[in-house]
Amino acid sequence: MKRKDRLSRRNFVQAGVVLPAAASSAAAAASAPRIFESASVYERLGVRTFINAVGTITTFSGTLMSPQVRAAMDEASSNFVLIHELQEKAGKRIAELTGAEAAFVTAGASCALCLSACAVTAGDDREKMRRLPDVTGMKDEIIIQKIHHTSYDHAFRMVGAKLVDVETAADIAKAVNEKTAAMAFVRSHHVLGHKVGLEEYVEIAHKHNLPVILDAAAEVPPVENLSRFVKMGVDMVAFSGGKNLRGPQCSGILMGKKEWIDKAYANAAPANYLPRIAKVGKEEIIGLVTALELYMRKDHDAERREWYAKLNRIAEGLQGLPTVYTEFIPNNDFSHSPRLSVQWDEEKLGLSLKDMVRKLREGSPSIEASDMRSFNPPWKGLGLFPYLLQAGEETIITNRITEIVREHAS
Amino acid sequence: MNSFRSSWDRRRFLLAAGLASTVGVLRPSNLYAAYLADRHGESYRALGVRPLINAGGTYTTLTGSVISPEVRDAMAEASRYFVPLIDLQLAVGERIAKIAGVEAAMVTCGATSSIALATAACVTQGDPEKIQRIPDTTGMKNEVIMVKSHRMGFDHAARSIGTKIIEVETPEELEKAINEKTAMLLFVHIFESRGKINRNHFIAAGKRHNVPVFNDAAAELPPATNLSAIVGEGFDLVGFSGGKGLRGPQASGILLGRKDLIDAAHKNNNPFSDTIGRAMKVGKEEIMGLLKAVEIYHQRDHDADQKQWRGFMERIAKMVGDVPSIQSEVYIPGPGGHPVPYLRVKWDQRKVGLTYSECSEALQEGEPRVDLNTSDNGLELASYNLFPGEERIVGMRLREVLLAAAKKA
Repeated sequence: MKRKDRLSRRNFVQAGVVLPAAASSAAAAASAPRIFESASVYERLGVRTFINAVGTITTFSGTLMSPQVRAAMDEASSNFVLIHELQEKAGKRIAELTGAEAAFVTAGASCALCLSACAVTAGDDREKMRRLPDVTGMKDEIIIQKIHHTSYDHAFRMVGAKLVDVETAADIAKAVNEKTAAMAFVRSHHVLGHKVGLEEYVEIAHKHNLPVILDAAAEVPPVENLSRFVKMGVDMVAFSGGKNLRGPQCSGILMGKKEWIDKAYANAAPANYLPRIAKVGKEEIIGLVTALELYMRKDHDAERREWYAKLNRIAEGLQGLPTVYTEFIPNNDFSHSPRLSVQWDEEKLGLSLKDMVRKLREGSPSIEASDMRSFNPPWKGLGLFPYLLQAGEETIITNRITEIVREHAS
Repeated sequence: MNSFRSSWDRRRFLLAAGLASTVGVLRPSNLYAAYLADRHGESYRALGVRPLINAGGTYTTLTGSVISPEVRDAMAEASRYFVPLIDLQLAVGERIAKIAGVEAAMVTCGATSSIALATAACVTQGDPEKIQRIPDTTGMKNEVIMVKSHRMGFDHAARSIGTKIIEVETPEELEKAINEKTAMLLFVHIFESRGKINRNHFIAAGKRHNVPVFNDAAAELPPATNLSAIVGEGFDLVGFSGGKGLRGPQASGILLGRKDLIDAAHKNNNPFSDTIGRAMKVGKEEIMGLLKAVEIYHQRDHDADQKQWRGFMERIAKMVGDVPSIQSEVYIPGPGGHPVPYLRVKWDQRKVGLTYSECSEALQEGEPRVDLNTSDNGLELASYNLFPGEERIVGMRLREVLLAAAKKA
């Protein structure tokens, strides 16, 4: 059997128990020659594969699952189970690991937000659940700070909910009425500068007897966040499974207070209500639980040191190139990874930042890096993030940048 | 009833006891041990979830189908590289369209997601402002027409776009119902025999009024020819499940048909944000898994499958042949059912001292767990989700449960 060749059941069980060492050696073994192999499945379609120095962007296909997650999904794919039983037990396991009262697996963070909106509008009232997105006669307003509007609002609106904008605590007091269903909060580096912090927000919401929905899609690391928000009293928290948890790309978690999670799950696929359109399969459920277990046991300090080491190798490798200058970008509360900015005299070299990004993309292997001028807040130079780089890829990046700079300097 | 609840201990015991000991001709202990050793489902059991043998069908609650080893490998391979997801969606869509011989195709998060995205395509027609605004459909075409007897739980997917469903019962009513607010006609393949309106009425009405006609063909593979044939009949859009007969990922589906409409559906789908499809995410692994499944399905010897499935059913029938009063029949369900071999098993419930549902419960509680369908007409076993060897376990367990009850009665 193929499955056995790849990773025997026994190996899989052991990998699940003795983590850090097994994980890192397996990852290193699997990733070292990775980019040099032919990516045959994609190649025959003419789809480009690339080294990802940007981040866990959905359009960049999120993340790469660890070999253990892949093996668990492989194994999960060869049996039938009852999906409700699986969701219940997977949810219990997630709750155990994070300290949340309850949880379940969704088809992504956006799907988790959609389900939370179902919970606060229709709840578990079948007549109302059947009727969504027609919210006539239901509480259908979700309060949100104006600055927290993102394109993910659609996950709330698709249920028929209306978003009510506020800016200050006083605004919230004025906005609350008998139609208010919940208060939503978004934690992301894209939405800095709100006036009411999460703790105060939760306090206000609970004073009004309203649940708080938190979009924390990309808020790990730090690992503590998996427990921190529920501990703060947030009623429902949405995480993406396909970012730094390194679970399946189309997976997510909704966790929080049992009362609300039960209501959300009542609406979830495979039941025939609105969120049935967003399905999650047995492979993704097992993959996500495995990814979460691995993530929670991981040596996060060691991982961070590794990230710095990779960026240092790039910085050292670029030293001495004409006009080239590198700097580490300081972390703020919301950036989970160190970043390296590579700058040079664009005029002198006749090499614009845009051209550099394009040349990296068009080379072989293709490399995706950022133009940091488009960041929020904006920065300078070529941005390199280390957290999705496989072993050895930092050398490929260094060599390629060197090559491009030399071409222009000569 | 002999329950094998503590499976792990039982398995060890069986292995320790040595496989040579024969328990009747069928040697159940050998079979169980071999089966459990091979398909134990470690990752599930670690969570306290018991895997099952699926003689029920490709129901979502029974987790659909089991992907083939080739699909599994394609997904594992796909998971090792970063790719631009939009390019991947487009390339895979093109490839599936080519295989199916249709204008265009795309991968969705399941057949229900296909219904939603088809509706979104017809309602928004790809207009960015409308895509951003739905399910608020003010000023848009927002009526979807369905045959009344086709209404079902899954039509929530069409309503999720902010549409109203208009029910019709006759071709005349259909003709009258179409107006300038009509966005789409929604036909449910499996329910065709239920109403007075057949597919030709729907297709013709759509063409006459220039309204797209969608066919929800979620579970209509096999027959394999349906992949091309349904679009060929004149439907503008057709949706299939990826996790049923195709044996692709459970959380995948296909939408195929007219290029302009698939383009519009794609714009409503993830990974684009601020779309309704953003919540219906499908990853690179599922996209590549589904493509592999379609490719395999297209080349597969479907007659051989049917023959093998019939063999499973006949074997089970033979194995339970010595149960008092038993009657069994291999059949292929008519319209509204899946065109694959099934087995109906009935017995004198009073004489055996066991009702059909009690028998089904006993099979579910046993180890390995067996799931099948019950009706007033007996047990109904589906062949197409059984793996070679499983039919013997099903036959044996069924015989065991029935004989144990008959002995007591």
